[in-house]
Amino acid sequence: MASFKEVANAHGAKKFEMQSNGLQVILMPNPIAAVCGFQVTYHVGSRDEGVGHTGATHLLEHLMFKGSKLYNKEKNNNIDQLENIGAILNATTWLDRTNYFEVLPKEYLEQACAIEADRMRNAFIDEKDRQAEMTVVRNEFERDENSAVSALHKNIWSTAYMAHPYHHNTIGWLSDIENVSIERLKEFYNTFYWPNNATVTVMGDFEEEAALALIEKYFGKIGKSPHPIPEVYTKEPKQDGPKRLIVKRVGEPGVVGIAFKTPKGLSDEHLNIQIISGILQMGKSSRLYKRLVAKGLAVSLYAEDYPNIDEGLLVIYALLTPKATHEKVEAIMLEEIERLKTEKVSKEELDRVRTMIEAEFVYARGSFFSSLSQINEAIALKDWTYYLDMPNKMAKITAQDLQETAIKYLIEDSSTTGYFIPKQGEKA
Amino acid sequence: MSIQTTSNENLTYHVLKTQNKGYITGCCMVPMSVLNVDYHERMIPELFAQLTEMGTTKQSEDAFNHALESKGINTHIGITHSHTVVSFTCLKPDLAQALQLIHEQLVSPKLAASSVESLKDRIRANINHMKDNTAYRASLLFTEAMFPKEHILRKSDPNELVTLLEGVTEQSVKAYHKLFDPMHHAKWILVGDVETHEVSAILADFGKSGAVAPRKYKPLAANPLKAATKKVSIKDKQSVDIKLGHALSIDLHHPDYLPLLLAVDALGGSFSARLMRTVRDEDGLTYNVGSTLSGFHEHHPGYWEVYGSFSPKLLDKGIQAIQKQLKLWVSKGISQEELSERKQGMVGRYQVSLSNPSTLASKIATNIENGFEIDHIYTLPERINQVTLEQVNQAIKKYIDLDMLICAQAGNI
Repeated sequence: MASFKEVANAHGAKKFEMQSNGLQVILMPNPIAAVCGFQVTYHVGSRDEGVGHTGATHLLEHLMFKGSKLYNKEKNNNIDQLENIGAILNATTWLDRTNYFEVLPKEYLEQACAIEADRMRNAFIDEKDRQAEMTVVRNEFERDENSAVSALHKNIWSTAYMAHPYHHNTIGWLSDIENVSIERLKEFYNTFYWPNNATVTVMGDFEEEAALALIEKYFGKIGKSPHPIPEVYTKEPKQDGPKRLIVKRVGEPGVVGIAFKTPKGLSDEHLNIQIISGILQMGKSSRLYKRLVAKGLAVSLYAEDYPNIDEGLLVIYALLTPKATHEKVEAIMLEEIERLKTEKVSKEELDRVRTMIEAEFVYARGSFFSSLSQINEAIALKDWTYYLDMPNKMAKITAQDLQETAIKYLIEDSSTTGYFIPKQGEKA
Repeated sequence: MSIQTTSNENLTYHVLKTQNKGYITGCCMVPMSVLNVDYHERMIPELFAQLTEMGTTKQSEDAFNHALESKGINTHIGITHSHTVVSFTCLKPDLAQALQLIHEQLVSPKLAASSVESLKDRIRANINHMKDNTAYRASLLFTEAMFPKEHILRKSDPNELVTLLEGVTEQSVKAYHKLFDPMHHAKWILVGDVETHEVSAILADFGKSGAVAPRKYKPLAANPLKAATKKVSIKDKQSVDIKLGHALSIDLHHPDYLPLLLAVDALGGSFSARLMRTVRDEDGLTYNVGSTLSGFHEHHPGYWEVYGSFSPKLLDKGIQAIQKQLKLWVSKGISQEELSERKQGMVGRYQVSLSNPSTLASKIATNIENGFEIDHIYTLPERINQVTLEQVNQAIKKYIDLDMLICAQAGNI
């Protein structure tokens, strides 16, 4: 179509740019069923927030469901009504992006496209809705606080970063959730919700020309932003020594979390970090599973090893059994981390992790939600083929690469170690 | 797409070829679980299931796990009331290896004493976690009020679970395993890039005539309906979980089940249902509120519940807001327009969910377990569409009694 310029073609998918307004469009045909996925990813996340309005990106995401000029409760066609034609829809906010998605019978693709286009620039963002939704988000925050792992996660990230906005959790601080003004939220919306800061993804059973025509029909009317989209310029200063923290609450289980600063997500070294994480905790053949879970010292392991736009964290969590002590588990985790620096991993271990990751990519093609999530995170990184290219890139990684990356990044002086210690208290 | 069923005297397999390329997902269902043991042995099936992943008589735990993970094969074993179920996903070239490993873990588990003790350490930790899990504690209070001790739908008190756990030994798990032949009457479900003849070639040697353990569980009736409010206070929990509802007298196969399901869906089945639209969207009282039918299995009745989470200071307002909607729902029923929307939404979401082969496999398994014909998965939308407004509103009047509501609350209250 003349209004679109094809800018890339890879792995059976195509990327286009709408000439008039800079909207990026990715078409990923996958006709496994008479179903389509439609998603809009905005390049705005909690990284774009500052003091006093942490959590604003997420609160705004909630307000985006309250209605827009053409689709609202008064007209009885608000976005939740898409459920009544069989759509499964939601939105998520994270450090580097916000996404809105619908998975629905293919004959209703146009309705999803129309609603998403309308709320890109015509969402109400109303004070009355903020008042009602603030308490909803506050309860989301409270529910999260009930979890030991969530409590430790928030404290580790906020301790590891002192300048960069990855310091605060995406849901924000409670007092900011309660007090951010509607004017601030509108300003946020008017800064970031523009076609030249967004990518539309269509996935599933569709015809290319027809899908582009729909996008042109609804998004083509929207102009590009009258201002440049702001970029985060804050850099996290070099960490000069290990940091430690303890969270004590009534709650189970005890948790140990060990974090290290990692390179930017698009760095090749970050792929090494992801494989290192796999060797440590992915699957029952992983090193820490064998030493902690199989030995009855931990119930389970969990890692945050995803790529971010800026330097992120690799965090390994161990959830303890009653017979384990935090100190003993931490010592074992550190032993295994140290071993990555002193010994090369075996070919067998490297192949196992690569195969597991590659197999997951194949399996994800069967789920619209997994596939949309994967492309969403790639778009957030500003490399839409990031996950599609990953198997080929990982195939080239050697044991030497992993050792060098471990020596460079898994260092005590850039670590943050946290304990969640269950506090004894009265329980009914 | 149609499900091809092959059955012989020992095992049955259902194969559904889909448009997905390069991988297969499914499960093996063995008819052996908590319904086949005495009440005091109810932890054994869970321990047995997890122990099958901790080495076999043919290879160590490490070798077994490596055989799976080096091929990217995902497996998960769990139990339902009536079955031990191993679900799997594998790449197409590795199907034979995946099924053979599942066969091996079920037929020849090592069940070592050291593994039993290590596993008990992990399960103790999980049970401890239940004690301050507000959702679990609310469910515990709710089901204790609805069902008598030893009822299959009554959640277990964590302290009682610890006692039952301590009684499990290497010998008791081995004795449990000897009660039945895992492959006899096993049902396999395979969905994805697969043909029946490929499965037949692999499963040919698996079936053999062996023991089938009898059921020991004798179905119990629910407690007589009686209104009650149950609360448990747990410190340092900023959000309170609640459950409202009561036991029901019908099962999944009853003609009133689908009308009641649609009624409950209109009340709180999704974002666009009444509870989310009012208690969350308009009143801003909660992040999470909804209603569902739960606990139904085979030909046994279950219960209906409204669930929600609230800040302690908004708890009373939240419960009042829910009760206001319940009164409206019971007194006026739902409208024809609402029913049409719920039916279209339910059928549409069902069809969307079936685009995922894992969901297809799990729905086929659940249908089999609950005694439905294999084509139930295809006929359900038609049955939903046949439900009338009169049936829905009569089902609300007939089965929902707001004077008998049980209200359970757990959190910092």
